[in-house]
Amino acid sequence: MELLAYLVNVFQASTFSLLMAGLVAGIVLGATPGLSSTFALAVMLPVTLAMGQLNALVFLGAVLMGSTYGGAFASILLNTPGTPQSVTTTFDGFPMAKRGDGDLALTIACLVSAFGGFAGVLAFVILAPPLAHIALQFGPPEMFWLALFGLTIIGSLSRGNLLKGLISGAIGLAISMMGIAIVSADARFTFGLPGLAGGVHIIPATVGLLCLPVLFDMLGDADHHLSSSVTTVRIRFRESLKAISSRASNLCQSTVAGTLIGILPGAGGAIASIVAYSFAKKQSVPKSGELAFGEGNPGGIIASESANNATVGGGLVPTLVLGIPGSPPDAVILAAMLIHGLQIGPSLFTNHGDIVYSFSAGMLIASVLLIPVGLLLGRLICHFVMRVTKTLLIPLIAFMTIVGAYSIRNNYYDVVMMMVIGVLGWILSRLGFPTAPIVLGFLLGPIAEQGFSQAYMIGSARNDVIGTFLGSGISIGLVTVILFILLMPLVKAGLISRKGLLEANDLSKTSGSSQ
Amino acid sequence: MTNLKHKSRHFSVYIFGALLFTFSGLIQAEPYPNESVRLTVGFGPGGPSDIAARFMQRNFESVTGEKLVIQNKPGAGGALSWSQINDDPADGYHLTLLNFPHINLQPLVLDGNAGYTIESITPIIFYTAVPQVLAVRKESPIKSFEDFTSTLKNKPDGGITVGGVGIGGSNHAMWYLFNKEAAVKTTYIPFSDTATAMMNLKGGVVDVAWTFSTQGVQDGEDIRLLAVAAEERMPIFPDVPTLKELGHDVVDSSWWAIGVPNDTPENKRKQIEKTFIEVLSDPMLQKNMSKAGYMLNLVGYDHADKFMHELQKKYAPVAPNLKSEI
Repeated sequence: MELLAYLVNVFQASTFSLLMAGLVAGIVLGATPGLSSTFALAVMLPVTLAMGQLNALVFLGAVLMGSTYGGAFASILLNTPGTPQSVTTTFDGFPMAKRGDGDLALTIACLVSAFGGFAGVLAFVILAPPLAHIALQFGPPEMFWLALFGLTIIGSLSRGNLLKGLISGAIGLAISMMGIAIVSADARFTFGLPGLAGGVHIIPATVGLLCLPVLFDMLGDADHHLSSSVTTVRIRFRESLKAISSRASNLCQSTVAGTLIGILPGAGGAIASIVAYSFAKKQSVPKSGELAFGEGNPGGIIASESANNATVGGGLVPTLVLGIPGSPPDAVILAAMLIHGLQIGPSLFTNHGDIVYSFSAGMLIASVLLIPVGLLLGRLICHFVMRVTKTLLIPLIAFMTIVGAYSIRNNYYDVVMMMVIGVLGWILSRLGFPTAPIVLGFLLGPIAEQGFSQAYMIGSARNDVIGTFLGSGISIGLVTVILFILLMPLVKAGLISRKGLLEANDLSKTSGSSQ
Repeated sequence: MTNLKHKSRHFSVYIFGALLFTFSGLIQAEPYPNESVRLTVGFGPGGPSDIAARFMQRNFESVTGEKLVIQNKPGAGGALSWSQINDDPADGYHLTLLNFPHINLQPLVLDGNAGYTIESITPIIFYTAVPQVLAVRKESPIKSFEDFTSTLKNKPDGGITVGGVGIGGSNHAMWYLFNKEAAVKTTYIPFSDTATAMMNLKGGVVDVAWTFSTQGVQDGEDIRLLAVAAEERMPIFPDVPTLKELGHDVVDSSWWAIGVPNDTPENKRKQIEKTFIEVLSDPMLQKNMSKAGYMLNLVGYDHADKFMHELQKKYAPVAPNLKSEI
């Protein structure tokens, strides 16, 4: 109940107006394809230099909350994820928008984002100190298995053609290897160009693979971007609540998954939404008259959006308790705390408890305010996207992707790389290779490689390589899940073919006897 | 006749001299800075380099009235920013943060893939350094440097794992320098960045780690410092002995300097040096920096290039030994 007292701090006029400003700025920046939460926070960081400790943190917290949700707009309305966290939102969000339910999808995204955000921060407040130590349980072998688990999701991402999906995943792994290797200092795939020594950054890669092919396709298609049959944009609040309440278990498990994955360093919102989405998809049994996942099922949006906003709170755990930023946006929050003279570590909660709890209270209020602010802005943005012509929309988005690619490392190489990867992605998708597994391979490749190499080196030093790889309950648990996922289809297929064989035998017997 | 010629030559020399004087007077008179100054940092926001740069931001503005804009250009352990340093306009308004011994080691370790050489780097002023420290997690059975050396005796064949950042970086060089001096064998495990290395130290993945004094402040409650590779004990860690006290003659720090493109005019370089000395002379800034684990060590423009080459002499023989174990 300490928290209630700190709520008062946030309701001071200056703090509250900064919170609102941060939320609006975050939503608009996040909604712009190519501009990530990291970008939004990094842009706002210098602005906070003139603010006090609490105001600066509340403001940045609101930017983070808003931008994580803002990614949903572009995902749903344009099929171009605004941020890497909202890639999976496109799978069902865009089909919904196409059939005229874009407003419903946005309202659902807003409500579950607020729910996920609120629950994540609440988990941080209650569980921060004990949860922080889960992060420490993840050493190199655990990270390797976790990345491998993530890669099994390629199977469910490659609809239709598994082989092409696997090839896409391998292309993603190859792209992730570009640059100077962390564990060996070898220059890989750099073609002697110094600009490639830094490898491909996540923003140009995601924007290139997921935004540009969409833009090219939009250019090649003469129709209006969204079906013009939709003339009114409503909020459809009750309908959304009904859609969410009938999928309460999906919402809860995705929020929990998002919080937990947020706590893991290096994973972040993009991985959280992918994991939550594939869990929800595996469990869903479409009722009659309901569309499957990937064809416009609201369950996909619920899983993806609640999970990615829940990582905001989860990510604060290692950041504030251990000083380990779980994801790039958290690194900016950490930088802000250091710049404003706060010492990070367990003592933060005892020495600066007032700041930490006021900051948490601010994040909780921000997630509640996400509902009115998000719904209002959602209507405006939805209106805009539906009225605007392609000749205006495409150059606008293309321009923003270039700004986004440049801004992340302030390097023109990244813009060139985004364009090259974008053209490559477009050609591949034309040939039937899905681009989402490329992104997945790209994201998980470095985690798997570093985890494997480090675990192998440590194992060699201890003369116990196998024991190092399978030395913890987490490792064994992850290996079991991976084996289950990989072998399940084979077992299933085996059962079916055996059944088929038996039936065939029966058939031959009966046909034999009839002769 | 000759006399006249002589006189006229004299006259032209006077005129030339006068012009030169006026012109240089004009250059001198142009205030620096009269617009915002950009400082490129080759690492992402939140890391020790970024923080080392941002400490100066507030004071730069109050001293000069202009903004110091920090631009993060991360990639390839900083190499991406240093390979582009000479593409910047040489106008004194485009500065790059330099890290040593990174810049000494990278071109050698990466076999020409770093995209720059030591000759393409021009330091104006070295301003801060963080000594390397040997750290263990709080619950580690190794409680002191003596514990560490006795554990080394029990596991002489590289059974002790030592964490650090990357291959061929400053932590890796420190690992080599110490092992060589102490004549011991350990296994070096590279991590992607300091935060990850610290997490793996706290989680017990590696037995010890070479890191920087700043981590002793940031992670003070979860890690224990066994020794510091500084000349003298640091005021913020009065209980941590130096390696020298412990009988190992190894002193090693990571340095930060302000760098400019190679063809920056001499007077601009002097102006930059003067400005930053003024910015860094603020007692409040010095207090904040030393509280965070940074040591304020100034090496001015007259000695900066020489100092860089002294570091080069120290690290050039180390580089060939920094190979991956995998």
